[in-house]
Amino acid sequence: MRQPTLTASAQLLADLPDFDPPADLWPRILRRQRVLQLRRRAALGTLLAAASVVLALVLRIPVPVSGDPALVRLQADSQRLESRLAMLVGGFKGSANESPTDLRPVERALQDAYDRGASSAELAELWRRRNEMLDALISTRETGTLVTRI
Amino acid sequence: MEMTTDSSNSASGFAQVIDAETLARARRGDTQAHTVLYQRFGRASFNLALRVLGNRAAAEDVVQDVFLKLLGAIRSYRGEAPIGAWLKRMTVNAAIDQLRAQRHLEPEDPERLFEHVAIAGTLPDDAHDAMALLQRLPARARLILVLHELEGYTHKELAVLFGQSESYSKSILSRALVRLQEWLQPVPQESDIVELRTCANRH
Repeated sequence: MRQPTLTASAQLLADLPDFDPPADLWPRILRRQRVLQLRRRAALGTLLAAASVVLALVLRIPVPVSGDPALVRLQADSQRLESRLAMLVGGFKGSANESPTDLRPVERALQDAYDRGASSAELAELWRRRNEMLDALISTRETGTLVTRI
Repeated sequence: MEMTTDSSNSASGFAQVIDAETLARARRGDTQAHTVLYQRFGRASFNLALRVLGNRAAAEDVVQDVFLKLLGAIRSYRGEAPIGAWLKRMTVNAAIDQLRAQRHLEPEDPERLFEHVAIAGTLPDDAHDAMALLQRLPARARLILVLHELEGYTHKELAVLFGQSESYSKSILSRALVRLQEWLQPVPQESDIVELRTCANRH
């Protein structure tokens, strides 16, 4: 008499071996997780830096930059010049679109530079240009003369 | 690769219970608690993936994918379902994704699925190696067989998983069991096959 027909299949499935995953799989997973965390943090850091610059430009607040006194000084100068210009023209506030037209290109360049993670030297040059622009606008207001830029 | 022959460990692996304190620590990001989760469920996840995919590297990828997802989502885990069931579902989904990526889940038609599967008498020497025999089934049939027979999925759950009717998985399971039986007992009698089909449909 034959055995019940599913016996062989059932036995085959019961005989399926169990394998241990390789010993280094968990350490690999943890390493991979750390890499992904670092990537996420780097992406978040870039996003926050860009957002803080945009916010600073929109709200006219100085961006705290650690480790580069020249850049901090340029930003402080920028804030001082903005205040002076604001007094002369009755203030420019609100969104970036309300900035004096002459400032917009350099502000866009600044935002782009922060987005790219540009060097301090490049950022400093852009802040310097912005300050020169503000200075020129103030001179124009004070003397009533037109400034011609080349 | 170290091997044991007690398959019951793997089958019940996802059913293991994790104490509330370990889960709480895991939710807080405690790496030791994460390691405990891996020690409890990593093997079950690996074996389920290996049986379905038949490839060690692919199974490792599945386990990595599953545990990275777990580590990313554990903070929001509130214990609505046992964590083992959650991991099992993630393993199944990751394995299916792998099969789909390799285009191993086609065709859907149960008749065509077994068209090119070796028949009895044409198998090579490894025919009595359980793992090798399982791998000779079409991927879709292997998946259904493993999920139903070893992981306790019901046909209703399989219907949801495949977006098909319950009779779909019943049909494929029946054919898979018959084919296995033919390989193991090369000269089956007609009455055996009828009984097998009846048996598979009862599951």
